[in-house]
Amino acid sequence: MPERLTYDIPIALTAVYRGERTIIRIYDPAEIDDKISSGLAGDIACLRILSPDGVIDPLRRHFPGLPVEFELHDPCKKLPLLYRYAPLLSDRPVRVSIPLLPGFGSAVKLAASLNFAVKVCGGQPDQPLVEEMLRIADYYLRRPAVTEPIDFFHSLFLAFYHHDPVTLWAIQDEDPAVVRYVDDHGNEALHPRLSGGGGKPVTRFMEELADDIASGNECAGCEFVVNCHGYFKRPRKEYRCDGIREVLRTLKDAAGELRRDLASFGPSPAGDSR
Amino acid sequence: MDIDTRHEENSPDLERDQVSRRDFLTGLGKWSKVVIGAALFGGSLLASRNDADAYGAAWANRGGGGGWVNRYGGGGTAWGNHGGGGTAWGNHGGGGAWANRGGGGTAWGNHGGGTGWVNRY
Repeated sequence: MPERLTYDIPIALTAVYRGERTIIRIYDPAEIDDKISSGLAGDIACLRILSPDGVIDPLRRHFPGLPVEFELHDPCKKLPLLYRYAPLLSDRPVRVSIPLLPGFGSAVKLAASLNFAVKVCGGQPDQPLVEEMLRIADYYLRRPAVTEPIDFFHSLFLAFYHHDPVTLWAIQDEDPAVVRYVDDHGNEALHPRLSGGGGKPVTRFMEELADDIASGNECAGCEFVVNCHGYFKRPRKEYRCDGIREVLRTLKDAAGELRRDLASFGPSPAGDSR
Repeated sequence: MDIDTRHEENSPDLERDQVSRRDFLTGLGKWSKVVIGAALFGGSLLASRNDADAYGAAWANRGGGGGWVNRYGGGGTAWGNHGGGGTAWGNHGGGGAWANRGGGGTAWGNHGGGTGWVNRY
């Protein structure tokens, strides 16, 4: 059965997308009032706060239980926002979206220690960022106190562990066949990370990726192509993946190690390979 | 194997075994709790759809296809249903429920397909 699309829309378009499954984008929680709150109904997947500098009280008043994701645009300077949003965790899932910028690791660690789910967003890291990613991968995998997922590390680790063909595009909510981004003008568009896409039709995006892979680019012989599916080849196709493969290798090796650890415990009554 | 089939196979013996494995992995001291839970309890996806803990544990769930938004995937439970349905996120306890989930053996780290965080609710 075809998967139901989720539309990532600005709050101004909620009436247009009534009846659809939606992610609602809003800049400032202070924009939320009774009128807006009463206008939101239906299958809302989460509320995405783009500029979370304001107070959180409107969120608590109007949307109990609704999953919230907020973006920490400057992971070095905006750390206090994590403390401001922490009270929301008492009644809902809250995820922090942290861009892949120098110093992102400190923000990830603080967010995880406060029990936020974390999404590291962005791609095409340079070597110093790759090294920071490797340290965070190790933190996610090995630090016993980590109880919440740090994506994409988490979902990719699970994909390796379960031999699941889920792609990074889906994990990062950037697969237009799963989550369709709608810009502030109401146009269905590629995810903003891919804004250099040249206005090509959204529905052709994954086909074009597949064409690139089939044409023999760096992805063609890559062991991670099933799950990565060219994720790190956008927006700049010429990006070299040597560093990022180290990160993926760390996660894949850890999945194998966990399998071996469990195998040493003995066979499962379920008869599977766990 | 679909979710319902897994549910039927979620026997007490299997649950006890999963808890033993969790304790074993925890004892090794080299894995995070989120890794252990997500990998180990994957076979018992949403043991009870009415089980608050199963929903509340869904941080690590992978129940549909896609990202974080769709992790309630097949359940079709929009956020607006959570409060009255007894599956509120208030039951999650801010991620502190790891220690309490051994007895239930349920979905601390569920896995049911390919997905991201957005699709887990």
